[in-house]
Amino acid sequence: MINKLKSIKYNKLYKPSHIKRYLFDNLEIIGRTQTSEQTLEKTFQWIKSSIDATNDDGSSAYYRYSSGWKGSYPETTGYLIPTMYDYAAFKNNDDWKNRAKKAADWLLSIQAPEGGWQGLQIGEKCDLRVFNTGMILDGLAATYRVEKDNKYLNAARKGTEWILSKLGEDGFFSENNVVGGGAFDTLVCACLLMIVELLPQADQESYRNKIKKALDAHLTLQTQNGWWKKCNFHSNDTALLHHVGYTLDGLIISSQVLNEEKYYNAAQKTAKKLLSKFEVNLELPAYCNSDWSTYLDLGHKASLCLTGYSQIAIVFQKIAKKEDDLRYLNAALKINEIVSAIGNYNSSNDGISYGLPGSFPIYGSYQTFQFVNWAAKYHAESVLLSLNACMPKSLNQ
Amino acid sequence: MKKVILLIGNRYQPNVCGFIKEYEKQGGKVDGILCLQPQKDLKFYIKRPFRVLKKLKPSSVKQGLRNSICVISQKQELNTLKQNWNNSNEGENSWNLLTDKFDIFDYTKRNGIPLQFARFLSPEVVRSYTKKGPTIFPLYAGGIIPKKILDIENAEFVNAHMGEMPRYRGMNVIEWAVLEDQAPKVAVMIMNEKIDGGNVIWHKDIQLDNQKTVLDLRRVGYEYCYKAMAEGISKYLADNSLRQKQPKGAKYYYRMHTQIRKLTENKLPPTKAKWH
Repeated sequence: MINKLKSIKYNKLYKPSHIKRYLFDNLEIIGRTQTSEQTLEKTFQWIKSSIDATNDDGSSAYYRYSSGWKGSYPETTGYLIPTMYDYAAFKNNDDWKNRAKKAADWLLSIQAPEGGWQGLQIGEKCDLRVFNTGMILDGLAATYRVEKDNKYLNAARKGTEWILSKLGEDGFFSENNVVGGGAFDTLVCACLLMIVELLPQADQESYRNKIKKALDAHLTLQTQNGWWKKCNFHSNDTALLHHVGYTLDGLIISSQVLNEEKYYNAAQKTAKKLLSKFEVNLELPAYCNSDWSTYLDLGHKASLCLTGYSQIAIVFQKIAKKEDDLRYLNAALKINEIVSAIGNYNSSNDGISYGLPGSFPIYGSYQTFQFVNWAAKYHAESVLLSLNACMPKSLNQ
Repeated sequence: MKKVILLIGNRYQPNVCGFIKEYEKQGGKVDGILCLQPQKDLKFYIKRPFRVLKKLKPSSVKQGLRNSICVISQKQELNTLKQNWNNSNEGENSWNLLTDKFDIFDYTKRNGIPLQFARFLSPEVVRSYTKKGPTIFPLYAGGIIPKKILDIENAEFVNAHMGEMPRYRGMNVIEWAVLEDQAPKVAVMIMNEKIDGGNVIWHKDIQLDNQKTVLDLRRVGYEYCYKAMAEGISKYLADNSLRQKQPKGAKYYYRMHTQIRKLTENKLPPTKAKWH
């Protein structure tokens, strides 16, 4: 009882906007189903609030019940950039293009002399981090492709070299990394490859060899049944859907760039399991045990990790396109619809209004009582993908 | 000779009526009907008033609260959203699309066919038939059958599935076949513990002509299901070797999302020329 009262005080559950959302989530009541265009409009409204909430041109990491808006998050601002450019192209809107460029310029302004970027948020003391730097490279690659300004590529190359200087003999990024690295670093490899693609041909080979070495090492983290070891922040017994999403997307992008099917096949093996698990239960738990059974993080039931949901929807759409298999697109559309309806929530509090919580219900164990910008980013990316180029060949007839 | 005992859920099931008619056309006659619906006896009527109390259970109260909040705040439940993908009019088990029916209980009386009732399908009930000899149970009720019942000696449970095996296991498969430009078929199977994984005894092409909506498609699919079931069982009774294991390479299909269903509808009416 005392703990519950402490939680109410700490998370400011006495605020009407906080308690209302809590109660709705508790009863599993969500917003109405909306069109993709409406979803994008509202999700970007929240992203705009997250940028406006900071003193720089980055996007605030999250709105937390206990402390409000957090400082800018270099890592997630990095991978928000390509999504902002995509939305600008979709809407034919220069405002989001300018915001993307400003965000990239801000990232250049905070790059460390060594080439990497700090972990955590601005205002938090943290070392340079491999994973975070990798995600920023994604943003710089997109900015360079749109703006054609060499300063972005030069900074990205410096970042690439810093990351590769941290590659261990065993092919893992254990040093200067989030929780000592993990399966999710396949996405770092993919981001490195995106940058290497933009470099002169003569320089590419040596980088590629190092990245392939890392990818091959990370493949060993996959178990026989398609599950992934080292795919969680805290424990090796469960895999967090968000990290599984990073891992699979990293492998698919890498496979595309390197034209190596083994990376795709590894991702597909996991995706096949997730497709069946999702379609049979019409939900994916935030955490899965090593036999793919559901980990009940709330004791009697499992919460949903909404970022992981959207990431898996992106992976499904990429597989649907590659294999011309509409079953994956079918599941992705369902996931998008679920996340979209959960996000369709209006509030007088701009941190909550149309934001996506880390967990559903909001008191689930991943990013508890927080509306995170990376959930908004991946949801927007997934919806844009479903509207743009993802349709399998058979649908274009 | 194997006996054929129809497993049904109620006395006016159109798909069962369709099966009986088709089976008679094939020269067959069912040997009995087992209805999985308890007769409304005295106990049933005594318990009736107490059912009101169920509405006062905490879970029922919570559900009532949810419904009211959804109406007032113009929101929906997560489960409602999921259920929309399996809209009862267009999804699986939309048997009400078939309307041609008669009173099956009267039919049994007129034809001297034994009719038995059971609250649920238990091994004892099944054994009461199989102890007299091998029995085929065409399945029109009962849902998922536990392995302990499937394994009963001399019992074979047969179902008709609206998709070619092993290519179209799962749900909404007639829609998926049309979407993928494949000729839709019905497979008649002896059930095993795997979903849609049993041995196939018969395949029948579904002849489509001018179906313009998914509802039209499913209606014709259901008709072909009972036709194929009747044909398949007749042929199988005469020739046991028709029973074939499914080849490997099964694909499972799932409930269609509304957008994918629309794409299927865009492919209607189907033209055979497009099919692979």
